[in-house]
Amino acid sequence: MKRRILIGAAVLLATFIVVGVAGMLMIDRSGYSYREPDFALEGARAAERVKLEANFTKPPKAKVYIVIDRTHNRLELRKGTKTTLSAVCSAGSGYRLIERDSNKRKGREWVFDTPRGIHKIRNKVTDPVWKRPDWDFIEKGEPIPRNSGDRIEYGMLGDYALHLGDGYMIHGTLYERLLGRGVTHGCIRLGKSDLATVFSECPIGTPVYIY
Amino acid sequence: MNAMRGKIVGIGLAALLAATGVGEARGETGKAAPAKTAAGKDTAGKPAAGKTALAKSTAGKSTAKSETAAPAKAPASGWPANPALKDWLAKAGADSFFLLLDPKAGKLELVLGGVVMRTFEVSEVGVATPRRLGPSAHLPEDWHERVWTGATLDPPHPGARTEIVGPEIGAAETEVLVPPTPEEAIPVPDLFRLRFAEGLAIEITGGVAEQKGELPPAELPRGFKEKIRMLREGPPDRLRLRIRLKPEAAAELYRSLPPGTDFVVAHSAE
Repeated sequence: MKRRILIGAAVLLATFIVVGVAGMLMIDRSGYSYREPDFALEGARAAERVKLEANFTKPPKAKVYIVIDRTHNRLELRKGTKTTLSAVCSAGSGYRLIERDSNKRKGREWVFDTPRGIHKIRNKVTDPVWKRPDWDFIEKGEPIPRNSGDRIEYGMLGDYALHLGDGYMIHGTLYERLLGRGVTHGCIRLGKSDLATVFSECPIGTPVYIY
Repeated sequence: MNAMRGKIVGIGLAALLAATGVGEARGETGKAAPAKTAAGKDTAGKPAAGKTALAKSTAGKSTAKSETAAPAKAPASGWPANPALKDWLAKAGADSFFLLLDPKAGKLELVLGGVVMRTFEVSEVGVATPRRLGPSAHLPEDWHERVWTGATLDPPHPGARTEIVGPEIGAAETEVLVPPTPEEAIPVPDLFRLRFAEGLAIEITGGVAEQKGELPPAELPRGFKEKIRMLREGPPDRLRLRIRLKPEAAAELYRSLPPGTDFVVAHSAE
């Protein structure tokens, strides 16, 4: 009897071990096995590839261009592959503003993103005047004026503005302490001296790359 | 009899330990890592037994070849093997984002319209195919000779935008909402993947490579969960390319990576 119990226990134990080992092996053998990749190409393939790859990257033809990291709020002025200015800026907040009427019904919406992509400087203005859009009144809880003259505000955009089209600009700010954070409605804000450099170095037509 | 029982139990326990990798780990610590190499690891940070190491592939041509690596094939006629890449190359200067891995130069570049936005230094590159019981699948021949498109980020960025509603007209002035910094707004995982439509996943980690290229401990539970999921659902990716960057570089890339970024490998003449 004792012997049978012992044999039964041994069989159970053996089964447990076999199932356990098989299970652990299955888990261990799943997944991915990493190895060093071999990127080598030979002969004609390599020669053709290298020739075509010359087109992968190249600085723009323009003498100077701007690169903006809208996530980390950084602006670079580059000449060829050389960065001549690295500045902290402010890009769009990414917030969504929702207009509600007096009955709390949903109206228009605005998303305050700085648009990614390739843009160019279309116009340059000294002492720019800001014509406040509807969203600025809605955001501040002010009535939207009927008279367009009531939208004009002086000094808000700093000393210069460089227009990128569709209402987006690179301009100055009264709130330099907020540089480095995405606080704008889509424009790029720069500090006073950086803005002066960008304004003087970038002619109309300068490419602006935003990522 | 007692001695016999002891042996059986001992063998069983040894087998169990070996299967869980405990034995292997113990064995490794006693050995010096081979020069110029680091042990190949799977996602769970466990050694990929029998594999040669992930050397710094940034140093140029491979020096170590895995015994499971796809056999070398004679060069085909022309390049690219995938004609879609040729079309894509013609448009590479257009208004589109792509990541360009240059293994020889040891860099990963984020490119917009042919202009390099940002360059990241690559410290390690590894490639993997799904592993099941039995040998690993072979690498697709043309995987580094094509453009990979249709990317999705895993884990995705926090999706919900902050919604604001202006105060009612005439209401008292409300406090201005100061948005968080990018670091506060987008938490960065230890490891993230960029999955492309046709089965490639680029796995980017900023984890510091420990001895033998182990992943940081934070990734272990994720790796184990993934193994269990793979057993249940099959491998999620046909091919994985692990790229190790500096932690802050990986974080910056994760936060600022535009959606729909393509991927291509740059080859340099050997």
